[in-house]
Amino acid sequence: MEQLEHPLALVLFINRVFGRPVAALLKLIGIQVADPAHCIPDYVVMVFIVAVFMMLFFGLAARKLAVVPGKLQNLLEYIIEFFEGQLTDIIGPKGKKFLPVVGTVGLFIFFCNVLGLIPGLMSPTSKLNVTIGCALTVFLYYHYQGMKAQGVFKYLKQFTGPIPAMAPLMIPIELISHCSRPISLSIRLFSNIFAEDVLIVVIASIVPIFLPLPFMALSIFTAVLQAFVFVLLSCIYLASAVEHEEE
Amino acid sequence: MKDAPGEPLGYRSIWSLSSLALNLPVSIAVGLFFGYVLDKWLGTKPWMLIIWTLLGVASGLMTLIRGIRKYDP
Repeated sequence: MEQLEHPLALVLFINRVFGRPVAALLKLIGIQVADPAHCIPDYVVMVFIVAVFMMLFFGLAARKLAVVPGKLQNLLEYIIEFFEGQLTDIIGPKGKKFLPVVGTVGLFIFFCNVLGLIPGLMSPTSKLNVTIGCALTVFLYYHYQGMKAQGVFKYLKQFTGPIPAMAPLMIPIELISHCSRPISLSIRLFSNIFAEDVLIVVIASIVPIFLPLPFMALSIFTAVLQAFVFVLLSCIYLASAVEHEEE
Repeated sequence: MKDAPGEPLGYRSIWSLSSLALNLPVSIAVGLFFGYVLDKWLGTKPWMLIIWTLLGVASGLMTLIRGIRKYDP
């Protein structure tokens, strides 16, 4: 697959401008960079583009709130209501307080997925590093919320299972099951977006005109779906952490 | 999450069920990794690897059964 990847013009430009200062900063904290001219990876540049876009877009949109919403405000309210609906359906009425983190992660993943459709840019979610970052955020967040809701001791006691004598067996099993959650979350997102990107590249290299279009349309669907699945599973994990034992 | 009995599965249930497929191999891999690290750390080659891989299999199966039981009590 290596020969399919080529450096993006934007990434080269960013590296030319910021590469050396970043390398110097990294040297200050003791990290030696092999090639200071190419030290910023492409997905980091793309993640920054998404983050800046989201901050500007949603920041500016939230400034001009009207009582009678316009088109943009209507759309944004619909998106927020959608996230709120998922949270209240799965977790219950107290799920609304998780909206900031779950909504941000969901929208971030959606924009990351869609970014690859713009020529000259790539989906940062087609790199495992980015998806693992998102999954770890959710992983740490739901454990934190679980401990906050139930108390540290009671939350940790959940891992021992219903029968105290079975605890030595149940603790490693629960430990593995919890650790496998962020990994399966990140691998699913990464593999779907990576496969979709490779598919478009392969099709475009065979017939560059018109043929990639249906696949690109399909990839918008995948982008929405994968962001949704990520949010859905995050909500389910949050629900299982915050609620009391199901069994 | 909570579909009424007898009703067709909602889209949410379908996606959460589809996530179960990845769970089994990932649980085994995580168990294997823990076993490998513990073996290196404690010098108990190959016992931890065997035990934790089996625990990974058990954990994967348990998650699978728990996930399915929600829909077929």
